[in-house]
Amino acid sequence: MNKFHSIVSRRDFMKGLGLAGAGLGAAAAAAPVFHDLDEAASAPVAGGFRRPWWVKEREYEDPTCEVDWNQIERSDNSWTMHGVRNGVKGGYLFAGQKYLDWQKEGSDLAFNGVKNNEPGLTLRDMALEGGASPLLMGLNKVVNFVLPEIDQNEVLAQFGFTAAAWPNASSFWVASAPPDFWGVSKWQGTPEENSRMLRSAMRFFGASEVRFAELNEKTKKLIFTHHVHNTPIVFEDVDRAYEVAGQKFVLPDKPLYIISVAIQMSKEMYRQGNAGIRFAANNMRYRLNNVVQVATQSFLKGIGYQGIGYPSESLFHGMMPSQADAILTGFAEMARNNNYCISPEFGTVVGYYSILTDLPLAPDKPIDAGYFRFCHTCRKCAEACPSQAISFDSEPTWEIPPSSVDPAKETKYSTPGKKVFHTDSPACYSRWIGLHGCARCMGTCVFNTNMKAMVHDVVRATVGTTGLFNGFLWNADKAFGYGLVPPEKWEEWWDKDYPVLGQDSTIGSYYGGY
Amino acid sequence: MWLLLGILIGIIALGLVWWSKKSNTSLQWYDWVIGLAGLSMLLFTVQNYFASVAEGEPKASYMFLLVTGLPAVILLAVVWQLLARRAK
Repeated sequence: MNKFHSIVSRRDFMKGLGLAGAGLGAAAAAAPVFHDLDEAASAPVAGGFRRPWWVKEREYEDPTCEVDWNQIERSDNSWTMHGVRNGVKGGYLFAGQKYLDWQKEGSDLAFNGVKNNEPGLTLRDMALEGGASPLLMGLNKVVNFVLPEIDQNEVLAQFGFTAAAWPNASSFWVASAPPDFWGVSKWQGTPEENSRMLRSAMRFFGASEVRFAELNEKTKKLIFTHHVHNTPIVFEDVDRAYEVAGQKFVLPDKPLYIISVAIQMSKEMYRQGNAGIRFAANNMRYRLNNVVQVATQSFLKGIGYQGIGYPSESLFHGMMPSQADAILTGFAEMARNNNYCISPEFGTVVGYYSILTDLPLAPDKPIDAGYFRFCHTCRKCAEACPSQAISFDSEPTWEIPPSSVDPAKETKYSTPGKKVFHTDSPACYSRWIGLHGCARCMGTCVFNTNMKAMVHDVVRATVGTTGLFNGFLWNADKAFGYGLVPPEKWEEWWDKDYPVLGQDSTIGSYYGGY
Repeated sequence: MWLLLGILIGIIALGLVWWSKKSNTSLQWYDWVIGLAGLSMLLFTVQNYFASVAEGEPKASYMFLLVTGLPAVILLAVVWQLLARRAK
């Protein structure tokens, strides 16, 4: 009987219909029914997912592909294709000769691809591939002011390779190989093309978003004279940046560009205001930025340019105040607390970093979304501050007031030249330490809301259009209960299913239907 | 949910027009204004209520029921009474 074309009799059809109906009924009866959202939230989950009813669980050790546990034995992983036997990768394959042939084939493909600018194998494609990898060396070896020279053979040995046997292996397992490795000249593009390219690469590496500025005569003034450990930062007439350990960081006195990097943090964790869970969200952005920085430096090296980042001397501090270039590149606007700023996309809970490069980039402009004007009225952060370090003034000032901690002392911790609400940094620091990482101001800010409810868009559009309703909106925010979460609810964080890394990586993604 | 809500609103709007023709009741311009205002507020409430629950903001969700949901229901009730009394 032909199984692919059968005639269904009326009786069979009706029987099938009955079975389907019974099946649907049984499925409906077996499907979980939640009476409220709390019940749904506490429902049993499989592997963390709340799967639909049609994903069914089976018995332990009994997957849908059959397993005969009587035949299963422990196996030797060095016999697999990635295995190394007798010091040779691919030892299974005839002492590696076949493997070496394939490696050469792959290398030839890559070299020819770069030389001929073939899609998927262009110089920038290979730089991206290499940029994603250098952490295989270990963070402590590669994250630095400039990308260190890496012993390729040391890394390749981990994988059973040698650079001689597989010429292009180092280009993606160590760090991006420079253009001369491929026998081509460095990447050339317009500043707009370069910006577009770098944004795609850096978002892929883990940056929430990047924006750019030119390091010109004005913005050069933002480069610190000394790094946080008192090491001088100087400009010299050299082509490449370099460091003399403990003595100086040298920036090349040539056209440079600022890459302002944003790394999102968890809004929910920040709403705890202080203590361990809040601090964890803050700490993680530094770890993520280490990855972004070294990958970006590697990518820039791969296309023939340099990236100048945070030095290993202190990976928490760069060459310039990152908030300044976040504001100048239009990531955000200044807030009432001048220790943070407010972004239309990320709100207050986001960390900014700065990387310098000699790749020409198209500068971005500052923005006006009405936030700084809103901060003239709203004092929610100031009210939440445990050390009263945030100004309650109605208007910003040029003058930096003395600190309440030591009024006689000169305010060297801040710089003049900006009309802001000056935060009493020593007082702020006292509670930052004393309350184990206080950030109540950022957590409680009117703009640290999630964005699912459409009211947030309405509020932001209103704030960006007119300041007439600022007072009303500040009070409405309080009446609606937004802001800090009380300590008795802090441990509930452990039972919630928040996004990976506490970030919404779809922000700024306009393609792919995510 | 929004698709189903749209279909439901379409059916109700069609039913309203059908009913007004059948009962020979004319719909005035202000019936439409008040009705659409009420409906807009109701939809705004529905979206913000469920989204606030999802955001983990219970107080905000209840406030939406009170601040925008209640006026929405009142406005729709006004339209209903206007039409019902005119039809008598």
